[in-house]
Amino acid sequence: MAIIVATLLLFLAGPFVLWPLLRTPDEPLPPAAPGTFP
Amino acid sequence: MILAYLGAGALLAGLVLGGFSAMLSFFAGWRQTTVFIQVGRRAFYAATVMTVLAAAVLELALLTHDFSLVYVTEHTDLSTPLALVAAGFYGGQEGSLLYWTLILGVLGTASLVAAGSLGDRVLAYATGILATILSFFLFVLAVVASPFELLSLTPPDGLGLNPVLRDGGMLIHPPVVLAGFAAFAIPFAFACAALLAGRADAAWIRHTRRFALLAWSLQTAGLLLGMWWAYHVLGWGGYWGWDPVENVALMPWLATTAYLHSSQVQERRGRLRTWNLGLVILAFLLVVFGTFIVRSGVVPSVHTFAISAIGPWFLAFLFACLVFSVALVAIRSGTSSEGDGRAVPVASREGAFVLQNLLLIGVIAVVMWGTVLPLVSGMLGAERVVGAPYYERAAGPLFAALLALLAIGPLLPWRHAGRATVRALRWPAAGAAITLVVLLVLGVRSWSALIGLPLAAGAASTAISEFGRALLRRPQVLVRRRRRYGAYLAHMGLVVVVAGIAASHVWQQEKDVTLQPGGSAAVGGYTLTYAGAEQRDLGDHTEYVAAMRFGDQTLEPARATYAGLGGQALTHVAISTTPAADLYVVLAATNEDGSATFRIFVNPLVAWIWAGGAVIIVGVVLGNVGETSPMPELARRRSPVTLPA
Repeated sequence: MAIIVATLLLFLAGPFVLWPLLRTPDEPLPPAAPGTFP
Repeated sequence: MILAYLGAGALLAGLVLGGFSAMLSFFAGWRQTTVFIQVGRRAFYAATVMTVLAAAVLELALLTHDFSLVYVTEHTDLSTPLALVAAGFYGGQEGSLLYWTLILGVLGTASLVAAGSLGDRVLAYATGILATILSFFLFVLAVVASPFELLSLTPPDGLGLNPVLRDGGMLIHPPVVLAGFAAFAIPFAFACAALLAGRADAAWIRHTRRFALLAWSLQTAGLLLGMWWAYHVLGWGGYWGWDPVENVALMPWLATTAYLHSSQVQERRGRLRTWNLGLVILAFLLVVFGTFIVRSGVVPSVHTFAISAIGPWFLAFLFACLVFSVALVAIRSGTSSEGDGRAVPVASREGAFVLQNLLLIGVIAVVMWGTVLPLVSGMLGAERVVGAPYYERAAGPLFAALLALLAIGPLLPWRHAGRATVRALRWPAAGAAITLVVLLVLGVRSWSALIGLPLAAGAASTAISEFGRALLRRPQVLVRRRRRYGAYLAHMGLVVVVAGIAASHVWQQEKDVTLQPGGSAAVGGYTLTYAGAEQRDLGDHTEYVAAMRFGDQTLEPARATYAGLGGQALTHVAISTTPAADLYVVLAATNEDGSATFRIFVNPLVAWIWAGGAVIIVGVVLGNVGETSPMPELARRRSPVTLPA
């Protein structure tokens, strides 16, 4: 039971801990070729 | 039961986050990856939040009398007053470890938040070290000694707090002294981090100064509160018994005192770098050593927690800290240059600090050997124990030399002393000489009084003359250089403490008397009359209270019996305090013929110890409010010294 609670708490803490990685934008996508749908 | 799972889950989550923070921070510091340094730091903050959550859950379980938890059942009961139920949080092994961890997490977080200017690498390594320490404690809490262990059957009531702990002192002494120990992990972490990052300048000292001062102030207050508590509760007429647990609290305080003085030499003169690192490491190792001694039960003491499984873990942690620190200093500090390479001149402020440091380390050695002697001699065959005479004989001369330095040191200038210094010494010399003559005229023949009190008077004269000089010439300097004058005030407080200790030690009077109601006894100029006794029912215990009259006052020493705890009995001391002396009355026994046996002490100047302690803390606080660096202009001018990474 304690392990389940711990997992839940870790899941909740995730966004705060990983924020520096989450806010770093990924490589920008290449612009779509003209005449194609994105 | 739900609370127990939430608490245990928070500890486990904290352990995972702490371990993750430690590994990532060391890696990020090594690779200098900014984003991972930030993630590592946030993981430490999150581990702290988990620790706060676990602590809140334990406190809630205590206050709601959740007897499904072993810890709540063993340390509280329904009749315990609510404040003491709340204090049960740190009243047992597991809870006090959680408290330690909580303080470490909170102060560690504060130190990391405020450390932006130290650079990414120092920050990363400091996070790694703090997270490693935090993880160790969370591991012990989650795996070895959990405060959230459940009982298979929930009892209707608990066993209650140990009667000795059912006192107002319980609300303040343990949390203060434990916080003082935990706080010293901060300077340790930043000192090691600076070494790892190759930064040999005084930046880490400036950053951690507040934490070192906080740790020192808490340790000072904790020691004095412990003395006050022992004096009021234990009923043996004294306040310091050289008990192993008192000793292991004194040793980190001595090392921290040494560090707070020698760190000034590095801040001002850029010298003693390795020495300061060594002192910080020594102080932290002594904290861990003390925690091991208190919690393992290897040395017999009135303070120790029950023998438990955590002793070997703490021994392993102590060993790991020792190996890590020594290896770090040996490998990294060799590459730094010590100031201008010349030896520290003896007749100078820095020389006085070095000498003071050596004397304090001497006292640590004396106390350490006295403390571990039963352990070491036991291993060699015949267990030997030393008492107060050993400590007084061995440490007494060192304390006397420290008092002499307290009188002379503050008058010595940096670099070297000249003729003006010799002139300035006339004040402490006059103060000491006058006190010595007065004592001799009064017929005092005790060596400890004839040496200790004049030296204390000399130290007081130094501080007073410095204050007087400032007031006569430029009073505004008292505020502008408040760190210096705050330190003088703390020195004054220490002198008052020393006077209290010396007087109560040398001139204590003690008498055992058995009196019928109406009978009188005279001790040290006080005449006391036994007026009779009565029994009082006070909820969780009954008290047999004797009334002792002297003058228009009535003292009520008592013996308390806790029926719910198998009839455990406890003495309640009655004390009448004046600035000159304490009248201290203990009800030793009540007899069948209606008489009562009392032990009566007259303890001179004990109140000075508590008052002096308050002055020390006030001096430290006033001296450091809004103070960042002793000489900001110097700190700015001096460029940081970097070592090859």
